Amino acid sequence: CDDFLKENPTGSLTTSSTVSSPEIARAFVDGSYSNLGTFNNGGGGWGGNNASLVEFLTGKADGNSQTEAFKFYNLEYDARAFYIDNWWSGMYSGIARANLAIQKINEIATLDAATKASMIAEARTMRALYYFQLVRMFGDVPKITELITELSAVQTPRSPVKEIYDEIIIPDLLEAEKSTLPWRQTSGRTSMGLIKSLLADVYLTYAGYPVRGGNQYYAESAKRSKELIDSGVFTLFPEYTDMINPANRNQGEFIFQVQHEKDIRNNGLTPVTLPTLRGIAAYSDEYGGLIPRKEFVESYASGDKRAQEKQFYYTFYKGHPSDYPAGDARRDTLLLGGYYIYKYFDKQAIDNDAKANINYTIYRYADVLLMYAEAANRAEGGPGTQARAALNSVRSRAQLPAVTTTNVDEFEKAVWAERYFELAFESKIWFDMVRTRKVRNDLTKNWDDFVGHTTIYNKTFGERNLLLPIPQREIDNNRNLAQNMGF
Amino acid sequence: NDGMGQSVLSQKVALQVQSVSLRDALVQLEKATDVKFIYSSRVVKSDVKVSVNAQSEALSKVLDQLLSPIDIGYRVVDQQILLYKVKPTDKPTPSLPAPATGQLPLAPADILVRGQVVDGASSSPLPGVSVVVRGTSRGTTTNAEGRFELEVPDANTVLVFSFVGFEKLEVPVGNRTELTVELAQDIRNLEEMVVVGYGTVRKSDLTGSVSAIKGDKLLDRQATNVAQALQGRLPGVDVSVNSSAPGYQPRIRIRGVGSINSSLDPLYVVDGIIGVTNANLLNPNDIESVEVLKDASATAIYGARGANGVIIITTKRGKSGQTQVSYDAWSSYITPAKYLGTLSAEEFMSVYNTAFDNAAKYDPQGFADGKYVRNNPADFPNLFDANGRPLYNTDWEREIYRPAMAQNHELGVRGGSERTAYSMSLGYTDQGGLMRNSNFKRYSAKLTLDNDVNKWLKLGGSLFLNRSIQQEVDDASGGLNVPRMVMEGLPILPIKYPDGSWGRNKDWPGMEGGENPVRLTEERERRNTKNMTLGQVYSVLTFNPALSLRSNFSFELKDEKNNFYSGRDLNALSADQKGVADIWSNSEQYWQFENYLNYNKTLGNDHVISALGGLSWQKRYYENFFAAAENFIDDFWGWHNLGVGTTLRKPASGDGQWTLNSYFARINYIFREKYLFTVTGRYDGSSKFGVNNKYAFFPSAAVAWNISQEEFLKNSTFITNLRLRASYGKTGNQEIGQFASQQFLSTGDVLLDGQRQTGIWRGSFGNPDLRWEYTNQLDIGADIGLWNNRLELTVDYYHKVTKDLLLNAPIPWSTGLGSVTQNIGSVENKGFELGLNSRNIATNNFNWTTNVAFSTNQNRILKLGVNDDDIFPGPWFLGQTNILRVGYPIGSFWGYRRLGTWGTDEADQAARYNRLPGDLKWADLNEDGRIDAADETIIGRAYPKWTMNIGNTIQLGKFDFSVDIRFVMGVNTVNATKHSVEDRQAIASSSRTVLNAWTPENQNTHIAQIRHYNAGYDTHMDDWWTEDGSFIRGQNIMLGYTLPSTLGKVNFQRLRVYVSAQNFFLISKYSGYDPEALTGFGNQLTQNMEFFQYPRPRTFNAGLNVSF
Repeated sequence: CDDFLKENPTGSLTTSSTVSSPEIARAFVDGSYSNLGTFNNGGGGWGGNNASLVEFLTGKADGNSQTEAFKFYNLEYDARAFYIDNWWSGMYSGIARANLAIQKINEIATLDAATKASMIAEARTMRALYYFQLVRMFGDVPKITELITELSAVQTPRSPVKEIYDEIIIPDLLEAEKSTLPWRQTSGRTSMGLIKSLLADVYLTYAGYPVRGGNQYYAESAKRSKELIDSGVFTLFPEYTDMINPANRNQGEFIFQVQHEKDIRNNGLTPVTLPTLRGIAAYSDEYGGLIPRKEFVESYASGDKRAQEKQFYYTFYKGHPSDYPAGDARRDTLLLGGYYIYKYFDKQAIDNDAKANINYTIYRYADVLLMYAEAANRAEGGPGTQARAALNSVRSRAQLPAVTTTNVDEFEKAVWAERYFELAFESKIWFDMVRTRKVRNDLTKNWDDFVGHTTIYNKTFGERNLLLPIPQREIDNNRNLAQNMGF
Repeated sequence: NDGMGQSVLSQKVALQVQSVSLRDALVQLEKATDVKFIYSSRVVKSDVKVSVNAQSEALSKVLDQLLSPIDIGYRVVDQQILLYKVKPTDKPTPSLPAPATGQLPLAPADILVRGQVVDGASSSPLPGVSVVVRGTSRGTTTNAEGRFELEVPDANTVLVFSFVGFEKLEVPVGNRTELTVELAQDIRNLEEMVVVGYGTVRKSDLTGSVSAIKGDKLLDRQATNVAQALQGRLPGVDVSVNSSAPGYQPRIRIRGVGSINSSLDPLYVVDGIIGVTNANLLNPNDIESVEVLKDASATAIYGARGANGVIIITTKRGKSGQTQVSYDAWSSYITPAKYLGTLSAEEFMSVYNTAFDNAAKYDPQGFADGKYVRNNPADFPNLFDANGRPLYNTDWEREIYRPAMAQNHELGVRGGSERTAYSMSLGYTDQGGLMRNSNFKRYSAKLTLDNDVNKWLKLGGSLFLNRSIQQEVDDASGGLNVPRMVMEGLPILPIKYPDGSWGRNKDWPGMEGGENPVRLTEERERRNTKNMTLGQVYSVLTFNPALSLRSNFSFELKDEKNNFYSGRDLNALSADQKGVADIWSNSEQYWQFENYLNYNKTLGNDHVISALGGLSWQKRYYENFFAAAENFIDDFWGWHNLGVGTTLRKPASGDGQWTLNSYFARINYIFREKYLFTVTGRYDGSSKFGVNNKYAFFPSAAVAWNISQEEFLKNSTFITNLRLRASYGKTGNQEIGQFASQQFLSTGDVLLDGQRQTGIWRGSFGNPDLRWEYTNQLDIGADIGLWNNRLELTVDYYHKVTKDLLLNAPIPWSTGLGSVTQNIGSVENKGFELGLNSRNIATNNFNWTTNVAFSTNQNRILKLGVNDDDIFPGPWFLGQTNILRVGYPIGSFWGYRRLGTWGTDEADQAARYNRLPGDLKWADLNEDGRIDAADETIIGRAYPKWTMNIGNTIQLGKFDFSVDIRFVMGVNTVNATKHSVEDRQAIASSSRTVLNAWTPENQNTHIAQIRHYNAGYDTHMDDWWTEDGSFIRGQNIMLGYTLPSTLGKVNFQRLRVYVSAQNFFLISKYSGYDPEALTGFGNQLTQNMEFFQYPRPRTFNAGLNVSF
């Protein structure tokens, strides 16, 4: 009778299954990439997208009512917002997968040492990436580096931000840096390019708020971005629109991207950034989920190529034949009455396929150039030639004059500003705002202190806005968690 | 020849023997007369001892005395007397005349006997009484007037009259051709037998709470499935018909909601086959009775599967006697009970223009930037005339919801000889739906056979075959599906343009582009096919009158398949994919093998003991797969050829099995018919549970006291029946799905290198300590009969506490997973049930009966998770909509409180909330100056406080009339449809309620000012959506007429025609189609929430019942 009642699952392995093949090891590592999808997934509300969260927070973006953009720009968001749940759960899910991969790869005896080291480097890089995202959003977070299997062990308390950097993020990346992974991986997996970019970003952030690690970390940051620049593997695309050409995925300027393939997993951010139901696309749903504020777009320097029509933004398109009858003038030109983001405008998808075939970028070369410029400036106590060259290579593509200042602060602000213009709506500006605690005022074009900055929406940032609230659900289920100030 | 035989048998003879062998006795007779006896020693055991004391009596009398006690018959053949063995019940009358020489066997001349059977007490005729010629299978049954006609062999024939509830009576025919037979009521069998788990008991011996309804009562109203037929009939049994889509399976909840993550469905047992997955596939005409076991005493025999109550369905089987043929048919006319009305073309245009006008107020910046460019009718000559007036004014509601027809036929043949009984039936149901192209068809066949092999062995079996096909067109709830486009389709569009192309919302740019609903019914199809085969073979071994062993082997084979296709041009559904086709298939096999001993013994006059003990093995195996393709070059192939689609979706498949091994026993003890005790227990082991907790024991005990049997009440004419019952026991719920205790490593796709790669990660936290969720239930009840049982009353109070609730309890996301199945939590259900049956008037020609079923249930969560924290079980609809909170019932709705709209004199206050006059005004419960999650609260309940059904049946001569009225009170229904059709404009058409939206002149309203959706609007679950869902429904009204029992040459046992109507009125404050609804929210705890429902029809039927 014992046999009669035995459960024999045939469709799934269990944590106690013995696994040994290199292919299974690869599957564990690949599992740790699966949560990259969180970076630009939809979730909750019509047109809501995780990528929109850090844009709404800046006060420089809007979205249709169901995206709940208004809660963020009105600074009325609370611990139950679905974006916050999605990011928290998505990043920790990725961390658990990376932890599992690290553990299992160590158990698999069939792997040679080099393969094992590379695989662990991949998984640790993913873990570092997920933690890096978490600490910048939430501050102190639970530190989890192993698979939790006991119900008695689930209530992990928060560890200080610095400890997460010092004991997970930085050691993970330094370990990965020792690997022999190539500079570029067109498969979308971890490359040395990603490891260096991440280190550059992590150290730059570590030098800033809230850790304020010290000047030497600018040097550590600059060292990594320099290595990447010197590798010569990555180059700026000549045209901005090269970034929305599916043929260029994982190529050229792109260092690390969330992978999309139109018939397998298309990029959902494309219809999210279309004007709401204006009938310009083959898409059934044109969400208007993430829309730039006009004041921000109009604060670009005059002559900046990026602010010109159909570079980073567009104000008109053509009415789609399925929406406008033949002969309707709007079939040729449809004025949209405002600016929309062109960075995710996959033309083939919009005109025909309704399935975007472009990747979502986490790191690209322009970002690294600007990180280098900023870090080197601080590390060296002033803008050196290479720092200026890095900044000006980004500016020259925008057809802007070179920055020539030798003043540390002026140069730094020039780099910051350049990051706003170059990396707008790529989930970068918000993190710059909180690490520098400075905000560029779109109207005065001055640098306000973060605390006290009044947005276009006439709302003023306070101390509480530096961090997102820990999801209420998480606090309910983990009594050892304290909520962030003001929530 | 006759004379000779008579003379042989009439000769006088004397014989006095005492306990001698038959052979000796016959030798003495041969010596005393000149007859010879012939017999085979193989047939007639001549050494058997006989005794006779006859002094000069006719030979025939002597032979009767001598032979009849030992079951031997005789016949005169050529001066010889032939002896032969007869069956005990097959004795020929002794004075049968001898046949003529050489004319063997005798062909008797038949005599036609007519008669009437009446109730000895009331002299009223008894229809349906079985009349059989003793010793043969020849027989008939009485018709509606209690009359019968039967040809009998001769005057010596004895007729046996039997009828449930009456004592069996044997009547010699003699020379009579016209008989009046009075049957006496059998006190012991007066009451109906009630089916309980693994057996039947007399109703008066019941100690548990069991509600029963007989098949003929069930058929009073037209119903296509059992659940529908049960609605409102039995106290404590709540049936929700949540959708009116044909083929929809109603939801049954017995005594409240006692679980959160495990199934809430009762256990179905069909003719002893446990856990039949889709009892609604049965044709209701096949059903003899339905019993619902409610308390622990009744359900504990099903142990781990009894916690949600048990529904026992007994189907019709054959009976010995005359073959009975029945034919039941009905036909229905289904018509919408209510049209909500839609905006006319003019009204829509006015709302559209107002929405653009008001955008200036709500989004001045965007307005100034030119974001709001409205369509100019002049640019749309296909939709507007030269004066800008709409060319079309389509009422999509009336285009889609149209009267339909339904029909049902069942042909049954039942009969049998003395030893073998059989039944066969064929059924066909064809149910149309209000929604174009929706329908449901069912084919069923059933065969049963019962055979008494001999005195100690009975064998039998049954086979059910069912096939159903449901054509669904209202799927994709939440998307732009048919019911939604009925409300959101623009009235300015045609169904088709003169050139034959379809009208679609996209034709008016700026709309969310749903297709017109007529087109959807044509180009989108979901076809759900189910095949189910149930079978059983059984044997009953009778060791002695007290002890028997029953074994049964039963199986269920089920195949389900869903085929789907959505056209390549259906915007917002499948246009982005250029057509989507998929096929999902699931097949299941179940078997059970059960053996149980039954023991029944009466000891003296005082003690009756019955006991049952057995074992059971059950196993269910399932396997499913899914395949899908997209990107079709034409709609031609539909789902018929997935290979045509060039974009392949990943196929999926899965399988699993579970097993159950059980031991069960029950002992009933009755003392002097006054005191009744029942003890029941089942020891169940399930594969679904953690290794440490595979087995569990589910005991129950019950006592009953028949007070009316006590001396002081025995002669009361007022209280004719009074019985108190009490029971307490434990039952379980194992329906947690597979493998919940396992720590799985799941696989999934990761897109890398432009392809799908397999990724592995942990998919479930796993909990090896999982154990049964169990329910302790107390039941106290009374059965009361007053005025010679003219008024019968059953009342029950129950208190159920479900503990160790299996909960997908949230765990911190920091573990990498969201939840783990844990035994945490408890919930209480308590309630009161009343069943009343009153025979107000009972005469030969006029009967009036009233039935009332009343129940209340109070549900309360006692404990939840480790810390009693709130859980939001979903669904999510623009925020959480339901909450589980300690102290509150399961099914509590969650949201804001709407105070109305901000008035112009409140502009300053509104500004505090970033709102303008004309915006929705929600209560700021914590008064912190903003409306956020902290302002959400419990705003309603999904389950009613009380329900009641009042039925009246009147029989007047040949007419019968009945009316059922159902009350469901103290409940809310969420009209989430308002989100789409009331809270936002210029995106689709709206409901007519927006005509009462806020304007400076109309500020006392709950509906925000009309504005373009892009200008910002508020929409959130609130108490404006959770409407009063109470209702009083005219459930059924019926008028029947029984035709004369003879029509031409055919003698009918029953020949009745009727007309009826369902849902013939509805009293409700609900603003949608019907408050009894659940649309588009799959969560099992969710009830009474609708997002564009399928309207409920009013149904008119005509039917026919024939049997002969």
